[in-house]
Amino acid sequence: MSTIVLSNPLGAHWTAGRHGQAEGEAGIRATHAAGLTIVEVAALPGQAQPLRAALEAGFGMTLGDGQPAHSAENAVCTGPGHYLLVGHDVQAVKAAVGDLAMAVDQSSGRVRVSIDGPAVADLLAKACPLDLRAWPIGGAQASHFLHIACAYYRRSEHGFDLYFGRSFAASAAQWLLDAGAEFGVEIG
Amino acid sequence: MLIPCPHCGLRPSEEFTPKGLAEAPRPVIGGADLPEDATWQDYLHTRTNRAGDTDEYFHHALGCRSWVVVHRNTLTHEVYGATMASEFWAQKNQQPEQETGQ
Repeated sequence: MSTIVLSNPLGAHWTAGRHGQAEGEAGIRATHAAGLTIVEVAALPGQAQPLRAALEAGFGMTLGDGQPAHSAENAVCTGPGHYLLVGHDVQAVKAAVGDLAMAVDQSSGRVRVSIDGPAVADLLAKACPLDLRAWPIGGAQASHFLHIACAYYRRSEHGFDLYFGRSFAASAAQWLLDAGAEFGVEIG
Repeated sequence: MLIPCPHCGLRPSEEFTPKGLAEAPRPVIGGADLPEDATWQDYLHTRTNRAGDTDEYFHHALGCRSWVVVHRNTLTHEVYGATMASEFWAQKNQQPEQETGQ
């Protein structure tokens, strides 16, 4: 199967290096995972629990009772019986879910930006309506970033993965650079 | 207004699209069961606009994409709770409205 990699979904301003406030430690560190494999799976009616069991058996992940809080780094819960499976082979995912769920390759449809750093909470406070105190590490949230639909995964205290639709990613990235300028943004 | 999505937890109403009362099933369209004009007239235009407790559809469009039924009071804006639409109709022992003829 051929692979098409489009160059930069985050726009011309998203370049490696320091942006905004240039003194001291960067408040925000950001990376974009290019060429990442992302498969969206959605359980057919009544199949959410068997789907979780199949994913756990096939990929060794722990998905709990299907709540967003019970996600995995590579299985981000975006709705009831809905997951973004990240970094797994597309055919392996389709084989694992069988006829329990629809599985669609979204590798070129979704963009993941990971942010970390001491000012991440202050940055998210401008864009995201969620209460970070009620958001466990290892938990996902389907919500919005500004007006843009966004799936979040919390890696650590200050570390978050943001999944945008590709055609919204440049807008989100531009805003992230503007809003993060006061903290300093280091793009790796 | 905050809406307690059964899947996502407490979320701002801006994430939801209101979709009207969950008490008036959409008339079946298509086949031999075309609704009477008067039935459509009632469904489309004759609304009670109730002042008080209501059950309303909301689509969690900027979230988990679930259809939920929100139980709230249109006078006080108090939100009592929310139920997945499928569970709401199962509890009522009725079929959900048919989405056909799009």
